[in-house]
Amino acid sequence: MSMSTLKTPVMKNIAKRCYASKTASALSIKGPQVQTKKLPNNSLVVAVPDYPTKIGRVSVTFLAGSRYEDPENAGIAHLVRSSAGLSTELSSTFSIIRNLGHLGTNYYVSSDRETITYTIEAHKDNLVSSLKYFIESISNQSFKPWELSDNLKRLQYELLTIPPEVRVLDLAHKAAYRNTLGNTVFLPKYNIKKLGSEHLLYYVKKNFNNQNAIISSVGVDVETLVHISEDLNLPNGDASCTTKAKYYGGDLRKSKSLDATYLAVVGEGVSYKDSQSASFAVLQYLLGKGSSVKWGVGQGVLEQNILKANSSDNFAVSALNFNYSDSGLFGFLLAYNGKDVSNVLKAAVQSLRSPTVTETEVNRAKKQLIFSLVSASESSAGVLENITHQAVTSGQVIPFEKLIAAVEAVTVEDVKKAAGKVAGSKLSLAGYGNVATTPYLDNL
Amino acid sequence: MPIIKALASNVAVRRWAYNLSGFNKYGLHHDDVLQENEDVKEALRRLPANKVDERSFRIMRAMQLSLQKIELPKEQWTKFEEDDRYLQPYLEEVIKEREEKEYWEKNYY
Repeated sequence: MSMSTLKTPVMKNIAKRCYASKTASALSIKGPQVQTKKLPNNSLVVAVPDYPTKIGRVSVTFLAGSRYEDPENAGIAHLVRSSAGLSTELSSTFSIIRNLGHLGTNYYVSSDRETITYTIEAHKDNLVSSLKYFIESISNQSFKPWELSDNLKRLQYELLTIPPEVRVLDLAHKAAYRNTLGNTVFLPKYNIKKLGSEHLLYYVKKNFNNQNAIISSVGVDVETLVHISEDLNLPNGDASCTTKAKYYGGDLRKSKSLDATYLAVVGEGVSYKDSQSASFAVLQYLLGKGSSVKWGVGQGVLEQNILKANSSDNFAVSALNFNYSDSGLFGFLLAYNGKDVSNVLKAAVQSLRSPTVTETEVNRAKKQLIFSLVSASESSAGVLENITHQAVTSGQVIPFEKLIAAVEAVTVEDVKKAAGKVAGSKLSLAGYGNVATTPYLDNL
Repeated sequence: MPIIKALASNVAVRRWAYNLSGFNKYGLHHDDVLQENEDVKEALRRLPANKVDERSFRIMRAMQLSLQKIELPKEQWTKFEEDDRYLQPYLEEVIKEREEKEYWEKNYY
């Protein structure tokens, strides 16, 4: 989520100029070459073939995350993810798992509000033989009822181990958007037994089509991805119906027998392709994402302000910045363990509404953001995740050096404008755990 | 051997053998009287609930008839043509999966 970038031509030019003129800068980072291709069947293919790695990584992503669910099948995207690797029409679970394992291949599936991503990682020598099972388990899923019911225990275990800070973020989305992006990413309890084979088959048939597919890779060339797209043999359906996400704002809390209080406060942010997204990314680091020094206190404005207001109670705070394809959220996540959360919360909301944006703070934030960008680009898994996220949210991939240049071009004024935008929007509050002392939005 | 094969595939012969076996007089189907080995148990687990209920009903009725030492009236006997082998697709799949596992265990360990 921390990767943010620019799309409009004006900002691109500025970014380019800044990059050209910064000869004195120590950061002369050259990212790997990214190749993008729109296939005749409408799938988008993104590859970084020349990354220096022995491992080939391929992701097949579908725009089929929780935002595309209906109220009746809430949580089905979670169920689809959890059912990955089950028997298909041609191969059994056993053969998929054993054959991939025998080839030393990693196969995993992740999902978020917008997407479900199937990823395979293998040594380049073994990748082609692994792809057979990978493709089969994506495009030929049969969701046999007895396998789904065998899977229930694992699913219930997974639901029970979701950490409260993740739950509170889910609630915050619900409060902010109500539907679309507000749909929960976790399967609700009432739907565990209700959703069965037919629901899954229908959902997969509707959403897993060429129009919605994005195939990305690191260490694998575009030609291979084109072959994968052909072998997947997906139907040519319509694009998932995209109701535009609308920010409403609201207040949701759930009392749980936990010692700590988990709170998320968010305002309206920007989409990934918005021209302000780089400023928002800098603003996030300005507010602080926790300590970057072990056992240290966070550098961020949020943490410093809370410390000024309250020095005795335990708390942890981190700024949030979610950029989706058509909307975004910006705010902070606060965990608190003490008697009365209201002072801490008020101090944090105060710094969210009017943060102290100075030249020094902005420079510090930029350095931390650039570090995190560079750090993510050091691993091929990080690169794959980044290009996939970019392709999903903006339909294109911006080269790494332009990302860095865009961050460097952010000025104090830009950050102030971003902060002003958040302050101007109606805030949303979500609470999870011990929420007894949590003030309501209108008292903040 | 070809003679036996030809006989076994002949519908008339098969119908004759079916009626001779006698379980149809209790209203049972072919797949109701399978030996319940591990494969059949697993196949039964996968069978949709309504099919399992129908099977249970037929078996209970047959037990009752056998206890009373009577048969169903002839018009209620299962006919050769009406005997659907409802368990076979599931059973075949279970056996295939088991053989796949056995193959792996033989060749890769």
